[in-house]
Amino acid sequence: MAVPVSDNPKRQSQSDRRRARANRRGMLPAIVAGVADTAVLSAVNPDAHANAWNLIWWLSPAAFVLWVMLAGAAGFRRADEYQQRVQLESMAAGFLVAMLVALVFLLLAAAQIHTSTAGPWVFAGGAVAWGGTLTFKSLRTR
Amino acid sequence: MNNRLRELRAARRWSQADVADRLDVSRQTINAVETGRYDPSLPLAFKLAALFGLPIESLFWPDSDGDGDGAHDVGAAAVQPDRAAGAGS
Repeated sequence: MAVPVSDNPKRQSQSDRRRARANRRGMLPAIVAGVADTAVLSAVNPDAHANAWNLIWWLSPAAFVLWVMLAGAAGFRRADEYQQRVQLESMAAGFLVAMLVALVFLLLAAAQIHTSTAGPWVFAGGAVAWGGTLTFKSLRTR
Repeated sequence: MNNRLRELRAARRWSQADVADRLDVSRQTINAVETGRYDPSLPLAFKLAALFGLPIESLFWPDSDGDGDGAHDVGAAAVQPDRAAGAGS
C-alpha cells in the first residue's frame, strides 16, 4: 500500500482516524439512546411502585451505561499498544483516587462523622483522576 | 532505552504520522517512542527496524549507564559496534 508523505507534521495517522471513526460509531448510538431514554424517563416520571415495568424503566439507564462501557472496551481493544498503556495507567490512577476517597469516608464513618454523599464523591474523584491523567498523558505526546 | 528514530525519520523527510501510517499505529505512539517516554514492544521494534531496513540493534540500544543492571551494560557494549556500522550505511 502506497503511503503518502504529508507536509502537516501534526496530522493524525490513518489508523488514528480509522479508530476514531470506529469509536464514534460504537459510542454515539449508545450515548444518544441513553440520553433520550433518561430524558423521557424524567419527563414521564413513572411510579416505580405501581408495577414491575415502571421499575425496569427506572433501571433502564444502567443498560445504556453498560452499552457505553462495552463500546469503550471495544475501543480499548482497537487502540494500539501505547494508547492501551496510557488508558490502563489512567484507569489505575482513577481507581487509586476512588479508593482513597472511599477510605476517607470509611475513616470518617469510623470516627462517627456520618456523611450521606460518599458515593458521588468516590465516583467524581475516580472519574476526574482518570480523565485528568488520560488528558495529561495524551497532551504530552501530541 | 535510546533510539535513532527521529534521526532516521528526518533523513527520509517523513513526519511522525507518515511513520505511523506505515506501521498502522497512532502518531502518539511514534512520538512517545521518539521522545523516550515509551519503549515499544518487540513486535513494534522489529517493524520499525524493518521499515528503516536496519537491524533492530542499530535502531535501539540500552542507556549507557544501564539501570544498575549488569546485563544492560553487557548489552550496550555488544550493541555499540553494530550501531556505528548501521549509522555509516
